[in-house]
Amino acid sequence: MPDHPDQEQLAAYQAGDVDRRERLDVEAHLAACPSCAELVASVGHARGSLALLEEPDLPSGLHDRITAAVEAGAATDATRPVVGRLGSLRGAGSGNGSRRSRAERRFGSQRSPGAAGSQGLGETAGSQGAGEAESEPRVLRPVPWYRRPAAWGAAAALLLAALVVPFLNQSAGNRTTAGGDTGGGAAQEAAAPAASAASAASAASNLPVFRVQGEVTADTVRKRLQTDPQARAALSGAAIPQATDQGGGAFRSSAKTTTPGTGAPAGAQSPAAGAQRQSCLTAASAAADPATRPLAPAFFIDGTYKGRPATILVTTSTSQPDRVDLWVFSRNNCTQVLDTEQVR
Amino acid sequence: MNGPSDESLLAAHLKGDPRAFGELVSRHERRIYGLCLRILGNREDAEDATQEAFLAALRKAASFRRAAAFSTWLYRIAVNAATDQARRRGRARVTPLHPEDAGLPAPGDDLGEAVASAVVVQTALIQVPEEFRIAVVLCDLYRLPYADAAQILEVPVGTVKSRVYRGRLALAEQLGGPPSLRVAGPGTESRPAASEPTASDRPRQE
Repeated sequence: MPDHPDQEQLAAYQAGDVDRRERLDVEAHLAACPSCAELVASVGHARGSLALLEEPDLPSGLHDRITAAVEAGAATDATRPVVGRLGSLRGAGSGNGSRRSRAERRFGSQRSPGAAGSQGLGETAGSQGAGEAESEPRVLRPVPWYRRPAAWGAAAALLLAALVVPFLNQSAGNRTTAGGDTGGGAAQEAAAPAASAASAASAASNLPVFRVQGEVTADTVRKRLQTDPQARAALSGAAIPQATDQGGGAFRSSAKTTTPGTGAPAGAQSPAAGAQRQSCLTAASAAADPATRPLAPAFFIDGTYKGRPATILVTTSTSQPDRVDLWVFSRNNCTQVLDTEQVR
Repeated sequence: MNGPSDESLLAAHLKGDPRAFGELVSRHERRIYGLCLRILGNREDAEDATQEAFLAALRKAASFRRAAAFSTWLYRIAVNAATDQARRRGRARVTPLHPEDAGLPAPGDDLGEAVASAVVVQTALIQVPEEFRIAVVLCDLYRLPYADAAQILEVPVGTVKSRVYRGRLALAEQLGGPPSLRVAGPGTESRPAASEPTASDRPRQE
């Protein structure tokens, strides 16, 4: 028997990428060599097994996450004329619709069988077939919020911007908030007309911080809102839309005129804390039910939630002003929403 | 749906149309996510890479040239985002934690056997060396022509073919092919890609 063809030669033969003479040589060899024939069969089997891998559904929440990140990315790119106006991305792919059948979801199913292997993705210029398939409404599986991804690129982008703004706002010294009713005024006003990334960053980092001894629940927040005029003021301040919404982005700034302060001042925030707090809003917005967005941040609570030190963001909704939610984070770590409750 | 082409949407975006880029995201996100998932093998990394791919596309939008199809351009960005993500992780996770993480049907999906097989295939695929795995994903799973994959990977067509062959061989080995099957690693070159560059010195134009 002549030498075995090398493995790549066999693979090339299988793929039809050999000339006629080479093909005849390989075929002659295979007819006489069980081990090479077995190799060819196993490679064919491996290739066929790939058909078991269907095109996966887009994970729940990913569309919104990408949208939020793109919004933040656009907002931080000063050369782009679309700052703060990418809200139209939101929900474009997250509506309800009929679930595509398993067969339809297979790779390559949009193509005729004969075209497989030569048609690519059918997404070259002018071809709308694949675009059509891609734009079909998707069903988002109801994945619980706490299973949603925690790494927020949007948070990172806003964090950068937020690192700058609190430095301008640090005049408040021993006041409850980094900006509050004094030093933050200018920044808050600046936040109103244009939803720039920097002013959006100030929206959350300037919020009042209430320190609560003991366990925080939706109930304690509810009571606090009933009994504490400052908490109420923070909430009503948040609910007032300050800027013309240029498209409903989650990062639209909602500047406040709240009276900060509380019986339990939390002390001034460091710039880093302010930036961190902004990422709380970003994370909460990304995790929020689209119907409640954009979120309007009202105040923070530093307290204990289910026995763990927590930073809790309380928001209302610009679209549903009566709604109040709380968003639980690890103390001073806004990267991941740990829990959420609807207060009212 | 008869909408504008991807390329004209990108042009509209560059002229300031606030909706255009969002439409591009909606059109391509699922496919890009699928690509990242097959390259990376787990959902979390695939989500990160998908997001990063669209952010990179946003940043690089102005550098898009009509010489290539938008999808080819976007795939190149996505492949780079996925390999960057793998590098950040240090290594690709070998085993998906959960079928759902691998983008596979959930066990209750009445296809228990298919699920098991798909898990086996995904697990085998992720063991294939990255360079070969990407070529297999593009050409065998996404069924791109070699020429398109060559554009995406910025290597000659012969190199793509070689990687696909070796990827299939590696996959066959992982799936329990014959013992005689010993796949040549990236260091041992043979035809037709005698000068195939490694992943690290691959040019990174996007």
